[in-house]
Amino acid sequence: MSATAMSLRNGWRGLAFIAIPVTAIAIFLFYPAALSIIGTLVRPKDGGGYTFSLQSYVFFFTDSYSLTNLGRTLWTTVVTLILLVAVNLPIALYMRFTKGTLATVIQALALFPMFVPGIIICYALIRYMGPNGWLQSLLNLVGFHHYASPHLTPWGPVIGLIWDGMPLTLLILISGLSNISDASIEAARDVGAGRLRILVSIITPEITHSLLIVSALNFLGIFGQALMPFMLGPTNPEMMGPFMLRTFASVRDPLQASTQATITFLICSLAGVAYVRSLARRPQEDRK
Amino acid sequence: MSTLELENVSKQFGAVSALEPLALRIADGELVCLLGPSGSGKSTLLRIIGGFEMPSGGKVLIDGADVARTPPEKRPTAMVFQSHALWSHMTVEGNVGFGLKLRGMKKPDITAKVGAALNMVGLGDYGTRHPAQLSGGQRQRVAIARCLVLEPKILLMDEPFASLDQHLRDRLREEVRQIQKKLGITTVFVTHGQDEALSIADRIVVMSMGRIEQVGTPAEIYTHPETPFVAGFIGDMNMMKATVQNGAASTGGIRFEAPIADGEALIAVRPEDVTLIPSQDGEGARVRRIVNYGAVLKIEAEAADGAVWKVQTLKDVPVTEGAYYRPAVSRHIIFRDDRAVHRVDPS
Repeated sequence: MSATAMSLRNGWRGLAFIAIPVTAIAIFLFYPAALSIIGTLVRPKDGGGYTFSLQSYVFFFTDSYSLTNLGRTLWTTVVTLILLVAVNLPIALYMRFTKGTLATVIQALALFPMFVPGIIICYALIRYMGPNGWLQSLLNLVGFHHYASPHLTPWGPVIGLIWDGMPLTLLILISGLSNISDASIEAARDVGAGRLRILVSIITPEITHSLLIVSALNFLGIFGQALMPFMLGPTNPEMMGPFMLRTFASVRDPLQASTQATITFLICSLAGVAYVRSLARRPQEDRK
Repeated sequence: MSTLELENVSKQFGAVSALEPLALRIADGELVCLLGPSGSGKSTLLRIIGGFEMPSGGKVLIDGADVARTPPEKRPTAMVFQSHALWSHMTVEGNVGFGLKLRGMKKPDITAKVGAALNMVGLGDYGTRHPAQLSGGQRQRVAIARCLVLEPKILLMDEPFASLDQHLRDRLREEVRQIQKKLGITTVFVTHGQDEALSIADRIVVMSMGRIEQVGTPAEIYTHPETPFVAGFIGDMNMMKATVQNGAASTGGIRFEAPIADGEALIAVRPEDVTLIPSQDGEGARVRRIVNYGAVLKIEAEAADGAVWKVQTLKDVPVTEGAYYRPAVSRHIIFRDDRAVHRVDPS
């Protein structure tokens, strides 16, 4: 068999290998998503037939409540993302450059939420920081009686999402940091760099790829989050996840729910594009 | 113009002693190789000089000033690492100029100095490239330029060519030696390659088990090893156990002059100091293997008492596998209690 024929045969085998999952994704993900998106743009006419309409989007972007919800979701996402990196980067740095029992204990604690179901995290947070929860009881014991629970404020979902997102963030950051050799840090010290300079000029640029992945994945996870804000309780304004649920199930307006979902999808897809570009660019850089 | 002195420098890692208290003085402009097997403490000593390890005791004096507790960023030293340790997000110019930038130097001055340093290592046209776009040898040149541009008092090199192929290693070694001589920079070079140490060093410090075994010029180390370890570690050596009786010892079919007290001893002979003289079958040693290295032949010959002679001769000397030869030795050393106690050296 010629090399070309063999290569062609291997190519077909490769395609056959991925055909089932790709077909499943197309049928169960892309097709219903496309139907839903098209359904928000192509509407039935009164006299029969269909017409193109942006009416549901016009409503969303002129409705102050919808816009406030979108703004609250963006705020929650950005604040959570910043805090996730701010909390996890020092832990990842400590774990990368410190060896010993304490580092192992911290790693175990930080990764623990990965093994806790989201719904348990929600109830744990409510029981801990909610009204008459553990925290309030403990503060009462030490004479502090002015505790206001944050769990129904914008900070409630932020705290919960940080707890939920910590393990993934930490793992990706540790993975990025593990690619920085001890010698390159020592080389920076050798030419005169102090700790802060090493962090700013050596470590941070070297883990840009990991930071991009962390930001993109967390953005996707937080922006489209429904469980955590829903379980913590009703708020006003609310995040897009519970907003969609309520519009669909309680208000019974599937068109607006689909419109909200499409807008959420479009915003998330920006983070998705950044993630895919980051993944695609890295091997090319390595090949140079 | 800098000297380096180590006074009673030691290092403990918990209960393990990585370096026994040692002393060493390196003169201005000298290139000294720390040579030893893995775990001998040579890299630990280099890292102590560079400030990456704090010594458990002793002083590290650079031009008379003790820097034993000074962090690396404040020492007048610069280190070339085995793994290049370049920063992949910076260009070659960025890597070389980073230290100058930290010193607050103006951009035009940085550009000029970086350009000069890159020209010195033959990479003048590679400034805008990233490390990933360079070969292993080019990366190591950048690492060397990054050190040289800072004009350190002491240059430290930690097995800098270990990851390169033999040809490139030989070439870079020569280039580094030329640059070092030209700049007159005091250099400490760690290697576990004896050829590398013998070819590049002004003096060699042979280390084993955290101790200095011997310090000397390459010629001294090669011809006058003071311990069996140095004799066996540097170059090929026939090391034969023998019993001394009445001022002589016999092994491998040869009677050696040994004017020392009776008892066990170790006789060391370099392969090139052995000559094979044709003899009758059954007399002397039988040649069991000849390996042709081009200019020289390496021969193994087994004596009647089972001792195996390693012999090195010029390729023109006629030797036949399976034939018998009488070994003759022109130079030998006798060791007892891990010290050289007698030498026969016609030179």
